[in-house]
Amino acid sequence: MNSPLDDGNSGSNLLRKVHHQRSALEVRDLRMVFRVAEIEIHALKGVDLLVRAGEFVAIMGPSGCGKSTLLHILGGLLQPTSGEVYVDGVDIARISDSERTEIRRRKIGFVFQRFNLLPTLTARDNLRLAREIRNGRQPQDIEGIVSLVGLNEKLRHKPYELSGGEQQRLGIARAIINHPAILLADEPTGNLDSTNSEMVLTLLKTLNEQYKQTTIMITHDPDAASYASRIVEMKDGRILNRVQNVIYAMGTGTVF
Amino acid sequence: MLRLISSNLLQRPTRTLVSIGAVALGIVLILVSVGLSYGQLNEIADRTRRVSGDFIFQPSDASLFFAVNSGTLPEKLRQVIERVAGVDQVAPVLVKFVTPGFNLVYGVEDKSYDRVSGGLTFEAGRLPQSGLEAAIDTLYAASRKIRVGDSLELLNNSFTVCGIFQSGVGARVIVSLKTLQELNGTPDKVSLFFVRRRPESSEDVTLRNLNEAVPGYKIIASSQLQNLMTSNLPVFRNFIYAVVGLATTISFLIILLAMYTTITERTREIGILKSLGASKMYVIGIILKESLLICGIGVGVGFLLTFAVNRLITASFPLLPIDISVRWRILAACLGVSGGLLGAVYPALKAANQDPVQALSYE
Repeated sequence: MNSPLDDGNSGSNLLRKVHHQRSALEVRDLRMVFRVAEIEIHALKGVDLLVRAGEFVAIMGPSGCGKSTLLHILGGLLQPTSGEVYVDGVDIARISDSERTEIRRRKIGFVFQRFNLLPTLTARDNLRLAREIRNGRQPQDIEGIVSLVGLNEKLRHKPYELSGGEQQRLGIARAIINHPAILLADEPTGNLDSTNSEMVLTLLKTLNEQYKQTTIMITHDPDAASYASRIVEMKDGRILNRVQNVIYAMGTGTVF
Repeated sequence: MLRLISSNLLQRPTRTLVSIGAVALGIVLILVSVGLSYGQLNEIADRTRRVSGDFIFQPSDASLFFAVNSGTLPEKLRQVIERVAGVDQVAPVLVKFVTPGFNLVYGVEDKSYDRVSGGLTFEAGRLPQSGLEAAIDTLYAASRKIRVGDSLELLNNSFTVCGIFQSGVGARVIVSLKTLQELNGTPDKVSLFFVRRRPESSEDVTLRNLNEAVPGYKIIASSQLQNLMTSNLPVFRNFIYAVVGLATTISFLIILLAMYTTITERTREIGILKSLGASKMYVIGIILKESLLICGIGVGVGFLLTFAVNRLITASFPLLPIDISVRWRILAACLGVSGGLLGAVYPALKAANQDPVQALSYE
């Protein structure tokens, strides 16, 4: 994996020399400016973040602090205004839209607050479609993933026939069906009651602990965040505990 | 993908049915219009070809539709034509267009007409010889429930039906030449001559002899009549083009509208697909394949409806022939599908270019 980190183009001096061989995801001096009419909205104001492979990171912060924007950029759904975003060593901020789509297809799994399942398809077909898009072929082995999320009996059901918790577990199954490098979860328990929330969070934790699934979860809920192995706090487009992150990065053996 | 496409179509059954109906309507419009037009032309050409011998001899400015120039040739020209090398038989014919019924009436000499045409096959009776006698073909007789001996109102006169011949040859109604000349007010005038060549004289040679011996007239080989009628009529071609254009436009607009609204409704779904890693081409493929499925079913339904409409027309109007060639069936299917696919292109591109984040937050 070639590192483009030493090319001097990074806006961040702090993490300039971080060696990211062991990172699943690395963000440097990430900035995002939205232009609405004549007004510029600075959603991200220089975010640095390093997530190691197999880590479960919760990103917390108030509404409008830039959490979702950050997640969308990490997932390749948005192109940042500036900065670097390495997913498995590839800077997805500097590649074309079609290349970003390819990264999203191969490396990223999304879990949404509103589940975002396709309502016209059964649970089985939702999973098959995700596998088809990612692999370009029909899946042969969805049963294992379905067992993992406990939906064996619900495969013929359409999303509206499932409870909120079941829909979210189906959403998680869909996200991991192609074994993504990074699982991005955007408020995965935001629409669930406490029982279902616990079930979903336990599932995410299990995926992380047993299967070393790298996971980044956005949440408002401190209880939900407590399931993560690390919590990153954001406010006003910046990461608050930046120093801790740097120290954390140093712990990886990185030389500053 | 196919499950997604079929489930989407089933999810919105009314729109799907309307879209299929629009494509089917286009197919019916094309095939029935073309079928009726070609059916009429081909039938006229075919019926004429079967009785006209080898050549049709007309005035130079004559139309291929014989009724347009009724009675402008001197009958005595017959003797001149008969003397041309290679000519065997000549039959003078006066053609009259009559309403109601929009039929052609031939005024013929029974003997020369028999010789040139090779003889009609009569189910009953004979050719008219003089006076107010008329022979009619079987379709005409069946559609009006007329038998030999019945009277037939024609050209403000009451004719007696003297014979019924098998349909498919010449005009549906035949009267004697003298009678029609009198009723038309054109004594000794005819519309055209049917000419039969001698077996030993080739078509090309005889045609050249005719043109040289009697210059300044329009002489058509009967074998070319069908092609000439269908290919040399700008009005006919324009009509067909207009129908084809209209039908294709209907398919195009309905599919465009249906797909455009469905894209708007399915904005979130498109966002989901993109979040799963679906490429632009994948999204475009979904929309185009959905349209292709609608168009394919629409074409099938259109063919079935065309068959039903044809049966209905044939049952209600036996004298209206419908002729739909395989070429036109294929063309109609292609137009229906391509119109629909074109209609889906813009919505497909719009869907493919949607911002995934905005699409995911679409309510």
